[in-house]
Amino acid sequence: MRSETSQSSAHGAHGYQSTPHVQSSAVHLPAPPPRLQRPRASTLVILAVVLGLALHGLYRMDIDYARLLRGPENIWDFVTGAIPPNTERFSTLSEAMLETVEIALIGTVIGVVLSVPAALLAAQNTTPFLPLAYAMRFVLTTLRAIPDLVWALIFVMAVGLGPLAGILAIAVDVLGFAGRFFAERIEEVERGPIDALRSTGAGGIAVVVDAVLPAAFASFTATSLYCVEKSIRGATVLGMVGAGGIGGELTTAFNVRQFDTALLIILMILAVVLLAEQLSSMVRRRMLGADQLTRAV
Amino acid sequence: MSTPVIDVRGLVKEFPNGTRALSGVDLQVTAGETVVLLGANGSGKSTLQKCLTKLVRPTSGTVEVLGTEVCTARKREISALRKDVGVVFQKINLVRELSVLTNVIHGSLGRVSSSRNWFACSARSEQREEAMEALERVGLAHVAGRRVEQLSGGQQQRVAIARMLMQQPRVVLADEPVAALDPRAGRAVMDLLWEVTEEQGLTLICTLHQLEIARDYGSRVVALRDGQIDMDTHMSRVAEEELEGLYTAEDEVLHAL
Repeated sequence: MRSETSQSSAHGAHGYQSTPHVQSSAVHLPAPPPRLQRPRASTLVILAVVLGLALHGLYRMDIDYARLLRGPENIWDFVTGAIPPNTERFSTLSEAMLETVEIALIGTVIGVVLSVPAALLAAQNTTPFLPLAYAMRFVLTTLRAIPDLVWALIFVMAVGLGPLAGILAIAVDVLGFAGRFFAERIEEVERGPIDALRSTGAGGIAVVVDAVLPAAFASFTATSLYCVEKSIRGATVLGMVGAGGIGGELTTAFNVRQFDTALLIILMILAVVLLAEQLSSMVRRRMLGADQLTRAV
Repeated sequence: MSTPVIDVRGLVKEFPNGTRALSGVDLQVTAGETVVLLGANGSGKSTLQKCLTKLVRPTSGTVEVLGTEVCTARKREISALRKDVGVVFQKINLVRELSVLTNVIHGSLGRVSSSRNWFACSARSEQREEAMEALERVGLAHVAGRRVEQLSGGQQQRVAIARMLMQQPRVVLADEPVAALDPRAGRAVMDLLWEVTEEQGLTLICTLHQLEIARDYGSRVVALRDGQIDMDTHMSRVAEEELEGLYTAEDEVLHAL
């Protein structure tokens, strides 16, 4: 009853004729909006462009649908050829896998270490010079926009075949990713403690080390762990362009149609990537502590 | 009467959005004096405090603090001035992720320029001892090794006072130091603040909005209203109604809602 009266008085406030009878206020209700509305012009344009591109692509690429039909047959060849996986070269492959993990770890460490100064320059609240922050952002975006496989190609060209190119490719990829996330975290750091240290007369570097970095540290660690995960995933294919690790073995196995070896490699990659994910989420749990992870809602 | 350590004349502050926070404030404070700044939200008391160390740039008027003419001083002079002015914040503003001892040692960062003092583990023995003394003074020497976030709000504000002592300032600005604390912890912090400033002969300007606390601690009371000094007198001479009057404008707004 109470809610009904408040409803009618609310209508009164909106300029409708208020009546003593609660029921009659329903007569004055405006019609509800229509169930369907005409889509906006911009929606139609976007839809048309997407559809047009798709149709144009199918026409231009001149796809041979017979090949599509042969697909299942070839996959069946692969499956029968791959099972059971061939463990003959397991020790050699393990070595290549170890190299992949090491490329990922070393590259990530280099990338994360470089990300801290890069982020301090890129964050608007710690940069010494605002245009420098924009320039740094642009550099980081560029590093991120170029895929790690392309970086690997570039570094193979620069330093030759082998794991060094892989390490550099991973480092650059991590720098682009972690640099941005670190910078964003730095920009979120609470103003108060920074002002407090400033007001004691502390210098800029002291303020960064003592107020900015401690507040951002937990988030830096979480981002770095994710980078390790991401780098291991990325490093498994770097070998395909000759930048070291297990990827080279995978390409070779496919080229010589040793599907049983290829399957072993794929299973090994799967195991290592899953393990890396588990490890990183375990470390994260430890870091956050039990309190943060108890159900809050 | 000695020369004032704080001498504010005709201070006006107008913000870019047109808000006139201060319109012609005069205030003289002598060395070792304790002043309570009273006023409702938006009366200009925080702005006045911020003008003293040029955290807010005055629009017109003169502000002289510890012999430094704030409005015309160079950057270097301002940072020298800030080293002599300790600040206690309403929001405490300790670095929560670091240890209590590290936070107290931070107070010495302006005074002793040594990167060893960035963290308690690497700090010079001299500053470590000074910091322990400061912590002992606020009664928290036993939690020196804990992380700040593990302490209660009242304890944190006491650590902030220890940090302020570590700075060895001559003037202390406290901006509603107990607004975020429960009444009992608030009293403990106020007692401590009043005691330490008296011991060290520091000049203290403390903004407050809780009338009861102001009544118990205030000696000289300066009340602001709409950016102007409404009264500047001794607490014992203020009638109850006058104090209540400072907040009526705000109360009326509340009742009208």
